[in-house]
Amino acid sequence: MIPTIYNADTVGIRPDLVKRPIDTWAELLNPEFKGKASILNIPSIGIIDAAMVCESVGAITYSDKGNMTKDELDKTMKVLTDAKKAGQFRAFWKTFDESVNLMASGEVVIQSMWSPAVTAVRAKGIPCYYTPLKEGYRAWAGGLGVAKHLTGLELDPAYEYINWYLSGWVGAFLNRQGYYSAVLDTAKQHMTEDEWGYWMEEKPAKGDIVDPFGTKIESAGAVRDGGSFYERMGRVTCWNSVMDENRYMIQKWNEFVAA
Amino acid sequence: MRLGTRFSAYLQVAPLTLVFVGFLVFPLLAIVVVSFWDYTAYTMVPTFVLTNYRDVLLSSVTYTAYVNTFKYAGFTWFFTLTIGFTVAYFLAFHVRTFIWQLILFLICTVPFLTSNIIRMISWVPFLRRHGIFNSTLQAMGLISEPLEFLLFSDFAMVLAFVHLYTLFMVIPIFNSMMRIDRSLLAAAADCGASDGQVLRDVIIPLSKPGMAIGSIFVVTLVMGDFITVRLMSGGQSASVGLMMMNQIALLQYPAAAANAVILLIVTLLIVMAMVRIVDIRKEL
Repeated sequence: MIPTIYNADTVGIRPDLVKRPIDTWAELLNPEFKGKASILNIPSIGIIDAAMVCESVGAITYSDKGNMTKDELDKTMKVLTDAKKAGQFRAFWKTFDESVNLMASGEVVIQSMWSPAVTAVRAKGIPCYYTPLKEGYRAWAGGLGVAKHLTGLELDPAYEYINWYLSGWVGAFLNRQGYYSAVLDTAKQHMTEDEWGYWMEEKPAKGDIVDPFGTKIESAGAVRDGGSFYERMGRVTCWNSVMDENRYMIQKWNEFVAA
Repeated sequence: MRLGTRFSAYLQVAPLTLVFVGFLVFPLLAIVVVSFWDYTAYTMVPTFVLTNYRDVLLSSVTYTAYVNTFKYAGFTWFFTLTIGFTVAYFLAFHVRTFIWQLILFLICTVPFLTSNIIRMISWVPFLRRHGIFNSTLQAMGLISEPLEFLLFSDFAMVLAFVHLYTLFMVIPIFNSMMRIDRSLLAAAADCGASDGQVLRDVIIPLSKPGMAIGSIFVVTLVMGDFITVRLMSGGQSASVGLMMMNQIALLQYPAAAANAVILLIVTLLIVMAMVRIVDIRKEL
């Protein structure tokens, strides 16, 4: 497998409705946002967001959030279940558009979110901020793999596709959504200097910043939330992973959703 | 000669049998077989283990999910039956001309021209915190704070189910009612029965097969649902179908298969109980 994309995730907020800076994962469980918070219902990702929150409120100390023990999983889901029963969460989202709609409609004012979803909310003209938090980010990466049985005429186009994928056009597309391309050098060639400065170097935008589909998301002077590439990727606390206790984790997550 | 008729009878049932064997019996057998397989994070391991069934039967989630699912099915059944019966009764006994019956019946089916997902999610902007319903009530001064229970709640789920499935009650009940010999009603009235007595002692007993068929439709649809539950509860409730959905999303096919086998058995038991109470063969 060859890496193609990665990013550092955090929580998105509606600054117009939250009305104060948010700087810690613990805010997801703050009673101030009762009935207006949300987390994502994809166990392998949600569990790590949950752990970031639990550690931040001081409920649990983890040896490794990326590979939790059964005991740590039990405690994490207990904290989250109690919050759910107290009515902290408005909804759990599972797809990209659900997270966009929850945020854009104001049903939810703080939630775990993905970078392009934040961009999509902003493209509707609604303020949304992908806020950096003092405990750091949850990061993930993805890539393309080639099936083992491919040969000759099937194998060549597969490699050709991967080469094209990393040759810059896709990289620039991903970067403009707030992701990072695995080959930044080629992506840079397909972005304007202003775009590169805004997305990668924490420089204020000189002109309008547009998303990959051409919709304006920021005006001149804006600075990317979370800062530069090094600032964001340098503050990763935990990477997504398949845990040794994966099977147990999913059982516990299902219990949480059913509770 | 006798042999010839028997042979042609087998030949006549052969196409449907083949379709059922190929597209119902065979996939079901595959699910049963897979439910005994083991699995890892990325693969299924063909072996014979009982861990999937043990996980399902010993987990408290299963029971919570079944209690939830029965609750949704129960409420939905009650409301669809009440509304469905009333609509069918109106169509069958109050609308006098056949042409109007047909027109009104077709109007009932109009919503089915759109996808049921669309019909479901159109409740979301209507019911949400700053949605049409809440802002109307607030503008009228009836409430000061938006009603939060309207969306992402059990209420929202049952509402969507009733909205989606009432027609499945209307059609079979209407069908049963149209077969009731009108002279029976006249005879009952002649013998001095009140309207209420006619309804209770003549119409309801004779509509039972329709009610049973409608109930089978509604209950089995709700028992197996996952998308309505997920969208209308905001992902905060679990039904049996949603549990399977989560497992499939994580490549835990054997666990989902074990769940499916148990759900199938439970649903079949419910249907068998219904068929025992009401003989639907009268209808066929």
